Amino acid sequence: MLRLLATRVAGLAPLLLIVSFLTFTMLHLVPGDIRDIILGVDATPEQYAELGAKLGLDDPFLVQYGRWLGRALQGDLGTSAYNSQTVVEAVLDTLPVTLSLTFGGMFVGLVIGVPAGVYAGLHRGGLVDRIAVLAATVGQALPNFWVAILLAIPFALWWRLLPATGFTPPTESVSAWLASIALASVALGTSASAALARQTRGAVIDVLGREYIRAARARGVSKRAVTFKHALKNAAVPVVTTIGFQVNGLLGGALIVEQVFGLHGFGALAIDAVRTQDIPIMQGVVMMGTVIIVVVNIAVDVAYGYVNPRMRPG
Amino acid sequence: MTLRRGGWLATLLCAAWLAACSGGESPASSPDAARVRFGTNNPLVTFDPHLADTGPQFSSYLTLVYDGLTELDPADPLRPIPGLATGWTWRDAVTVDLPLHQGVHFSDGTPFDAHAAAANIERLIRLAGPRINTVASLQGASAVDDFTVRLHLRHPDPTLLYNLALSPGMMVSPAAFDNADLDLNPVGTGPWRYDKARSKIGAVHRFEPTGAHFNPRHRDVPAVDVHVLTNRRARLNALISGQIDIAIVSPTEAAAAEDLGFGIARRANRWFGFTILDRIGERTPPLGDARVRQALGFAVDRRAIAEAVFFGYARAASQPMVEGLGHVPQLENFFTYDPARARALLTAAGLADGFSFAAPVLPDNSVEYEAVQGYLRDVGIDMEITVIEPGTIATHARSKTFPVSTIGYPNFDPDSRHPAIWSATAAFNPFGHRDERIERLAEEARRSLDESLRERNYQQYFNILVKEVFSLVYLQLDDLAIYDAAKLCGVEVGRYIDPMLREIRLAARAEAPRC
Repeated sequence: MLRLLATRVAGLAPLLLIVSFLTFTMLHLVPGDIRDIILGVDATPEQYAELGAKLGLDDPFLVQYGRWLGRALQGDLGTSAYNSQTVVEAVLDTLPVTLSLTFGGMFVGLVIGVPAGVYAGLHRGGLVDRIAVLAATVGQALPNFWVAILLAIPFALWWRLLPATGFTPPTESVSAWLASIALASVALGTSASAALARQTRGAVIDVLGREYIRAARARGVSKRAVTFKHALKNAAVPVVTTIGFQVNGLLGGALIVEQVFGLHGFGALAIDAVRTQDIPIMQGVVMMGTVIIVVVNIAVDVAYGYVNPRMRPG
Repeated sequence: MTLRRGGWLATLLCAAWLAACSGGESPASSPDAARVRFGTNNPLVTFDPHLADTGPQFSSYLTLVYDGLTELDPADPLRPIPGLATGWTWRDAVTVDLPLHQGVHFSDGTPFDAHAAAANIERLIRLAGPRINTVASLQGASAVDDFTVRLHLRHPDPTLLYNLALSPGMMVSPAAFDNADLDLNPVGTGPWRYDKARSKIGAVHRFEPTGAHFNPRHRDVPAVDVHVLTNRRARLNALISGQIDIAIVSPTEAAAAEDLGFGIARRANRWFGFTILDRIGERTPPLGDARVRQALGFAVDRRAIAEAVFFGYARAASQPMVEGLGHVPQLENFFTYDPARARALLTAAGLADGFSFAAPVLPDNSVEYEAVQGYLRDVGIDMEITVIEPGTIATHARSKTFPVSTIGYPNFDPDSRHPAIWSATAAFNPFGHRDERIERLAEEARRSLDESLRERNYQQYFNILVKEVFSLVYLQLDDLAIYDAAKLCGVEVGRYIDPMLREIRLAARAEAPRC
């Protein structure tokens, strides 16, 4: 297990290098000029040229990237192009919002999706199974942002049970934190629960059809013991993989749902950075996003090994 | 049994979550009832006024924590009135003395005096920020005595005191000049102090009243929270659900909010139409002919667009300036909806079969320009809309990619609009069209303290500009703020998009001025 972790962590460095270069390249291809945003539309050509020289925008692309990389390697991701807020501060300020939504969405997905999938799989062909399959299909088809808008109308605008916008950190108030992420988490969790329900149902049905299950039943092992001792544990392997995928998907989905609920998370930070050509901030967002995804994948691999000892390396 | 227990566990967890959520403070019973909570789509860029642009940075952030030597008259936000200066005396056309309030301190305790004021002016000149061109006449400043500062100008500048009421003229504590975090931690003399500890960049900025402002009118101001909500729908939802009290909105949201009983404040601050960049016809030869440009004006039904697209929060217009300097009453209805005349003008220009041109349009403005596109098509003009990224209008203008620009420029202050849009060297004149008449008229007006000469010159200026269609104005657009009328009073939109936060008071405190 330690070797697995070491391999994955070692692979992170070249991955970050490639991602940082691609991000830098793409940001340079985005139309627009940061000077227009900083100086406004009334700027004189002299002001424009002066700011370009100050920001190093006249240097060749590779020189600009090299400058950024040199500082990053020393642990300095820089500051926003607009003010003295450091990239690390900006990222750390917004990270709790996006992580709250991601894990809130995952929680909803697990609480709804896994039990529904298990029940449907164990009662294949029954009414509940058919309803679960239909609901999962609809749930996966609904865009997160649309669900978010639909949820906000009754719960936030009509009944005012939950806030329509804004984030409260859990350090300030746990109940207010839960309230601030509830609608967004449910919106995100809808598609996650649908995906998990489908995957869990399929895995349960698959495992229940395996020979060792039939053999266990033939040996007179009770249905309950077969289900909980053998079937569900083995069915968990593909479900764990799906959870990993879903966490990554939820991270992406959170970027959109944040907009609907006025949450200043990674998504808002990224969108603002692209809109304002704030390359240091954007690089920071992408770097941190990459690290999170790698960490999630490592966690999935570890969980994989836990639920299925045959998968443990070495 | 285990399954059933698991199901119960999940149910309990959900119930606990919902209970915890609904147990939180509901927006209606918020302890923020004594605060003005303002929703804006403009994130803070910098608290350093000498490096800040005007617009929302000025009206949503800087004006809370800083004072200028002059400030804008709330009743006429183009007129400078005394601020930290108690008045002014022009010694000659290029020297002005400003006596200052005594006993004023910056939020770091540094006393404000003429030396501090002079140091600020010198810093403004030295840093040469985004708005330095609006105070380009400034040569320097000196302290006449402890409480009189003298400004030295390179040439007469009738707009200096107006521009000093905006971000360039705001006074920063000299002790904070070298603070690395001045851009995020302001040190001014304004009616509020910035609560950095309780603010979060990009999300919310909190301001607490000092209660000790030199101007008694600003001593009873309520606390202000500026919530950054870049999504229009989120802003409206926050207002409807009671999380914020006031928000800037587009016409679509304003119409919806007005129906729900919210108060609405509006001011026509921008015009909608085209600036013809290729007036020399270099890339699009038909646009080099003033008759063709006029045809673009007569082809469009302005009133229909004002009603259908802007829900009435706009009015038909023909000229860039609204009432005030540069407004020409006779030009008000110069363009009417007359497609036959548009076709006749095209025929006279040898373009009976029409012509085509491309226009760069921001995603948020696509509906209104599609309406224009339809009207132009009716007279044979094919306008191809190219949707461009926000923030790229100036870039496109500079690169001569398009023969027109669709930016909605402010409809006041012709002194600053001339060098930006219509002068031979303007950023929005990339093809270098030069009209000696308007150059002369603007140059005279911009350097004269004689108001009648300025009025006369700018009237002539805009007569030329409108009739020869350097810019084509279809509508004057309102900037809009919707607010909880039961809670707030004194809400008015300023000249720089946002409501004038200094003037807003809580309705419950009925003794407040302007309520």
